[in-house]
Amino acid sequence: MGDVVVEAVEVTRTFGRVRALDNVSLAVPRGAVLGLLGHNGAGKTTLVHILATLLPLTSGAASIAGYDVCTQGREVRRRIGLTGQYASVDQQLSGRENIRLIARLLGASKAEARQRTDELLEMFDLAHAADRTAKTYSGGMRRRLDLAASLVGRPDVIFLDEPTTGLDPTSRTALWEHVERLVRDGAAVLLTTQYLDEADRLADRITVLSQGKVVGAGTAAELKAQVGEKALRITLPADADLAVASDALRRSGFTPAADEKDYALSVPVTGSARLSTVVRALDEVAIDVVEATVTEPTLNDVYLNLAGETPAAASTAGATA
Amino acid sequence: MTTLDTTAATRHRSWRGSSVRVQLAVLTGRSLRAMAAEPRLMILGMLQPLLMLLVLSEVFGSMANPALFPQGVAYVDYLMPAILLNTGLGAAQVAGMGLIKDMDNGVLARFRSLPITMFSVLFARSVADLGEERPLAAHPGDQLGQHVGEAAELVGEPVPVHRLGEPLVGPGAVGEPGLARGPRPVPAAGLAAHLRDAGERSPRLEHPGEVDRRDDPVGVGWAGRGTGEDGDRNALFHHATSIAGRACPRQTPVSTYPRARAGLAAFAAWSVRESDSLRVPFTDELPRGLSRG
Repeated sequence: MGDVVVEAVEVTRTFGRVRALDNVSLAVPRGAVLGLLGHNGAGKTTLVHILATLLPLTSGAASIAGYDVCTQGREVRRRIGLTGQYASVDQQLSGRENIRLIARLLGASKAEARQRTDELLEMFDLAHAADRTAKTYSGGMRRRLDLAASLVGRPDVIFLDEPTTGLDPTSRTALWEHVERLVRDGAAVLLTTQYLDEADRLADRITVLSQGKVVGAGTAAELKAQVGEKALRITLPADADLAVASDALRRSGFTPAADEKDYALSVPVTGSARLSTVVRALDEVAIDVVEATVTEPTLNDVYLNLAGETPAAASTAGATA
Repeated sequence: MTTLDTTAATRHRSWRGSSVRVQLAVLTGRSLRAMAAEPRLMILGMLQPLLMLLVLSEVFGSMANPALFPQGVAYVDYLMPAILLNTGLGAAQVAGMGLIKDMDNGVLARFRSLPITMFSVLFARSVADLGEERPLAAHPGDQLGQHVGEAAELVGEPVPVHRLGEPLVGPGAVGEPGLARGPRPVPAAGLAAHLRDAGERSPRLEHPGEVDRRDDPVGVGWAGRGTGEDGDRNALFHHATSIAGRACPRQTPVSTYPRARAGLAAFAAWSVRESDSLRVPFTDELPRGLSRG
């Protein structure tokens, strides 16, 4: 997987009596995305802040490209880009001014800063609004500007702290594409998110945090396998016979579970090829399908499975942190 | 879309972080720009102490009992220091609130994730808010030519006007004909490069040495304080900042720049360069009585 650029070893951080992070270890190699999954208060942001040298750790060790985050902060800061939970751009400056500011602070000359700014504005489709103040930007534009600002110095490591929270689906997909391009170009990305589908789409490996502890780690497929599989939920007309439908499906090799109240059947499926088999099986016994939805395991399921607790309990406990 | 390729990743290694003076300048510029976007606030900030003074002395002043005051002391003698203090505290408050805003919207976190010193962020705020109190202190206007001329003298050689533009002659042209010395407009193009070249050639500024912080912790007193090279440097700094149309440099620490390798001449040049973006009113218009020679 290449050399490790982000490494945390048994990182613990306490705020008073609250253990926000408890013996968290992780590693991200170059050109890979690690998804950090967890509900509010799970400790995701605390971990990002420690790795980005914004917070000291209580015990353990963490390094970026071999530089210790506690003792070699300046070297670390030269190699990272941080995109915060809320877009951290200066709203009173224009998009162009925001990017140039960062470039100049990183040590670019005026000409270099101008060139880099133009590149980034172009890349993130902000050129048309470059000279408007960021105040007037839409949420998606602001988030893109924020991401552009963290890429000015071509960092080796990019921290994306809930980059798509509050974005509409189009902006979300666009942002994902940007992240994918960054990874192709060799950056290591640490992505925190509350959405399993986001981690699924972007992350090579996922670490699940709950109340400051690592409760699960692995690839998306591994985690899903632990949690459960996709299921097809079929709603039948009110006059249909659930038993007949169940039998038809069983003959085709499925194991449906009937829901008498809603006239629905839940069928575990693994691939798209089998969806058609289900429909055909029902067609053979002349039963209409009113509605069919594929349900995927959600973050709730991950939590129930991995942490052995409900997310509600997790977020209440986390809220005190 | 080749900007993020791997060759680019190695190229950024040349950006080895910025110096403290660039950090200060860039961050101060940021705050000033934000201020320019909201000119009403600046006008209000300037009017407020005047209104307070007026209202308290002229309207409510009669309520103060002069019989209790010592001989020869008027109410306004108490009032004035209080207004000054209040104005100063007001500026501090603005700086503090700006900082809190930065903390809230994550801008401060972004700065903290950059390889810059936090001192710059804090100091730049203060500098900017000083500027708000006296925004006109360094507007060049008619004294621009004088600043340029004196700065040029300090870096060891006069600035021949033909290098900057055209030589000027007339009753206002002080000193040798063709030298930029009197109050006259100077075009910006070429000036920066000239000052920098001159500074690099100048034996007086070749090795600027270091200003001892203990001697001059905040760099107050470029005018008169300090002798010899220090005085020159302070004066040059003053001219440079005046040229650049920056806020009054009295509170800007000269001692922040001791390690600038090319000396303050380079700083002067840089200030002039910066001034382009600040839109200093450099003009081709000639003062009365002068003509192009």
